[in-house]
Amino acid sequence: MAFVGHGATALGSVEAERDGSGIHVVTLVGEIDISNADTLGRALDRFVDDANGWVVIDLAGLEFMDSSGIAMLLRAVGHAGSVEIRNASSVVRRIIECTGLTDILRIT
Amino acid sequence: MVGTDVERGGGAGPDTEPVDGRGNGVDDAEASVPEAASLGLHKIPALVLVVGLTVVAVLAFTARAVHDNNENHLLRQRVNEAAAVLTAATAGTQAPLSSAAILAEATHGDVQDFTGLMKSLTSGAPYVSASLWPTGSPNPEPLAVVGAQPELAKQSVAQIRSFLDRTSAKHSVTILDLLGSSPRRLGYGFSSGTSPHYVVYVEADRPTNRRSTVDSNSAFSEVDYAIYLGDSAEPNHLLASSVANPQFHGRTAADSVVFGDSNLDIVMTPRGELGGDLLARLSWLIAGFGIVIALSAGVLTERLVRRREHAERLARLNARLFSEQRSVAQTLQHSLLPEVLPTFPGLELAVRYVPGVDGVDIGGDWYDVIDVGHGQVLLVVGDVSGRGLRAATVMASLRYAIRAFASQGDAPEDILFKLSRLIEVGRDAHFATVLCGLVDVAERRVTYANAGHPEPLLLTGSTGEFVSTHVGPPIGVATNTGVATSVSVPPGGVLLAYTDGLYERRGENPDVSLARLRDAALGYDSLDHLLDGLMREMTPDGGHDDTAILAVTWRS
Repeated sequence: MAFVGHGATALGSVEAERDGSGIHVVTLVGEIDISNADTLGRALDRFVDDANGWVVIDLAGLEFMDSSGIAMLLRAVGHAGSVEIRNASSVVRRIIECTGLTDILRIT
Repeated sequence: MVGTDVERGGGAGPDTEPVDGRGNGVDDAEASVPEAASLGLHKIPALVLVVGLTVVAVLAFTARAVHDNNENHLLRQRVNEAAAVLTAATAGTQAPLSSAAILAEATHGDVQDFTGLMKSLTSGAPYVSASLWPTGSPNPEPLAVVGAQPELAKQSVAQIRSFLDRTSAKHSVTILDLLGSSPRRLGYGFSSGTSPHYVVYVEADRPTNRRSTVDSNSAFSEVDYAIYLGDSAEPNHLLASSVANPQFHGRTAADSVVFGDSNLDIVMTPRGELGGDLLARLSWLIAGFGIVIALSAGVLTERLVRRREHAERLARLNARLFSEQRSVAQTLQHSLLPEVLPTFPGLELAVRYVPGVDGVDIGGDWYDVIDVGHGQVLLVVGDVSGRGLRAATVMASLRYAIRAFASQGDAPEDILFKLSRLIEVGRDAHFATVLCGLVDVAERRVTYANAGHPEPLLLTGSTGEFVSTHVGPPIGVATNTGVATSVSVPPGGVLLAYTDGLYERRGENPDVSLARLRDAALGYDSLDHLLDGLMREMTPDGGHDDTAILAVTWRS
């Protein structure tokens, strides 16, 4: 199940699936900024709520996010029981570091 | 004198406009009435209607004219056909008379032979009477009579002689019109040879309302007709007709055929439509449907025109609301930022705030300069995530909370610690990065506490370096334990704090972006030139995100 958020300045999508071992994997792709963070954030919240437990958020395809995207991730982390964030690009990883969130949005 | 440079992004952003409360001057009357009710037609629909009706009228009249022309043509064809039929029918008249005339001349007026020949022809049809007359007699009497007595005999002697003279003078049938007398008859005279001695004369009954023998012919179907003998269309000369008293009006056609020494006039009028009913109704059909189509086109055009006007009104309204909203957003934004910065002896400050190019929503960036006494000044630069009214209210609450904590004499790290308990990203949907720097003016030192904010840039002479602060989690995400970092500012050094709108480029590593910022910040001789130059170089397109910058230096 995929959800595309086409904002005025950014095109991103959220996709949810289960991997082989039954773990919910939510994939963020493209760009997330103020123009599409609301739409994508609602989809992300729903996926995380549906998972109801261990969720992996895969950022391999995420090219950019601004503070709206970070807020969206922070909310998802607050919703889920346990979240693992993986495959963040160096750009996204650095954005998270610069914002002092290394300990909160733990990237594996 | 100590100067404090305050400039509020007014002139720096490409899309900013003076906020002067013009939003209140919106024409409310026009705005609240999106559609003016009107029953009249607009110019274009009226034109469509007029042109449509004109075209319909022309088409209908054309159809009518074509129909008339067609009917006239068909009627003329009919009357010509009827004339041909009549010519053929009358051609047989001469043959028996000719035979009888030749016989009479050959037998020198033998009565027996004449009677024998004519007997079969005078039993009512085609003739009622046949008689043989001498020519050149001063008092002519019939030499022989077969069938009824000829009406010719009742005429005056002069008339009889005139008729016989006329007949013997030429080699064709002579017609005697007895249609006005009673019984109504038609007489035919014929003589043979160049100087005939005898005239054969027959009479046929023509009772009133007698129908023509050619009546059943197709040339006479669907029409009323009257056949007159001679050139006068009078009842006295009516030979045959389809109706009792033929008085034809409207569409008529006439033709004439030679009949003996006289002629037959045929007058015809159609009973219905010779070309069929469809063609007759075509003009009415065109008129009916055409008027409906023209009216529909007019109504449709009118609706389109009104819809377009409505859309244009809405667009104007939207544009006004947009500019109003933008103006409100900017007014609110500026009202949430310090109107005038306080001044401090020996300290020079400059700020810029520029809303993003979108400009409709309120941004969450802010700066603040707070005099906390004892020769200390608290500098704040913050950035609430997202935009809009909610982000702005979060920003306002944080800004005033910081002022409150600062007035209690809290250190920067304590301020952030207290601040981190005020908002919660899960609840408020926003978080904030905040950089608090407490300036000790006399000591030329700044003590920073940082909640997720970009690190400040220290410019000294020809080099620039980022002040390494302990970057704690942003406000609203986790409790900020608050670790302070101190930096001493050498003479001529400038400390620059800013929000991410100044350097952030999508897809670019923040380290690269920050290095670009550092390089761009070098080589300016005043704070104003520095800030204007940075805005110009770092956000050449006006910047997508809003941006706040605060610069501080010591006066030498």
